[in-house]
Amino acid sequence: MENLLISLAQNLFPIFGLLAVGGAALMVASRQAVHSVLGFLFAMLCVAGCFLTLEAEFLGIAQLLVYAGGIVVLFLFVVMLVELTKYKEKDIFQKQTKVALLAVAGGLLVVGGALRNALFGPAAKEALTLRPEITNGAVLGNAQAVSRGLFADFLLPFEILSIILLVALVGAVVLAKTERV
Amino acid sequence: MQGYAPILLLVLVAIAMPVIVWTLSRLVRPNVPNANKYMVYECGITPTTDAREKFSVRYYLIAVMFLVFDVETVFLYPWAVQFKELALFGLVEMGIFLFLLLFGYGYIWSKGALTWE
Repeated sequence: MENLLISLAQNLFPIFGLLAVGGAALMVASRQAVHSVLGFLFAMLCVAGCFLTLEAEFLGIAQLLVYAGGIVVLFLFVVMLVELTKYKEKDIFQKQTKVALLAVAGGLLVVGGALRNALFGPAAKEALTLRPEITNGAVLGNAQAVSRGLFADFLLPFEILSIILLVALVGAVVLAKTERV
Repeated sequence: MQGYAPILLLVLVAIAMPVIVWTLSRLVRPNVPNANKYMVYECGITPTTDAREKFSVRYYLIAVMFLVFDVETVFLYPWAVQFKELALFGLVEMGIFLFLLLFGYGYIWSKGALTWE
């Protein structure tokens, strides 16, 4: 029993990872939209667990706040907005398999390059490790390390992010404010 | 990772509790199925429509607005913990970030998206 617990504790990252993949599979395979959202929530919680096992606490908490908190609610609202029973009669949601497979193949090609580098490139030989600033104690906490990366190394992406958020905001208003219900 | 053992234990207990309670009540309770018992409970009144109704699109708008400012808040945190080290540079950088989102806030305000007529 004790050995089992120890080996479980040592393999938390792959366990959380596999659970996350399971949640994602549930999300895709489920016929009920609300069950899909629950699968997504489960996957996001497991990804947060993955972050925690990598000692990336800040990312883990942000994952919980933004994905498990905000985006799941957004998805639930979308499920509520669409009258699914109406579409079920028309059967439009079951006719997208071919399009979906094509889209996934295209996405795999794009992501594949990055994945190939990560799996077979020189970086694959190194284990997943923390940034050197944290391990040698130059930076005290996790949020500090994130902040260093965010505000110094990735300055432009950070500012572009605010524009993306702005686009999301304006786009939602333009789409949703046209109808007066 | 050591410090998270209590949290993991809490999660496991939280998962185990409903499983145990459900199994226990399944074993103990009398089993008399009745169609009325499986009906949706709606304050004692017989339900007239399906629960899955189309909601107003405004809920989506509220959710997106919440999400955008939620993400903004998440980015404020790493800035706050390194506030002194980042100094003026961080202040200007965050100022641009906040200004752009303030512009969005002004936009949704002027469009009346914050009111619920």
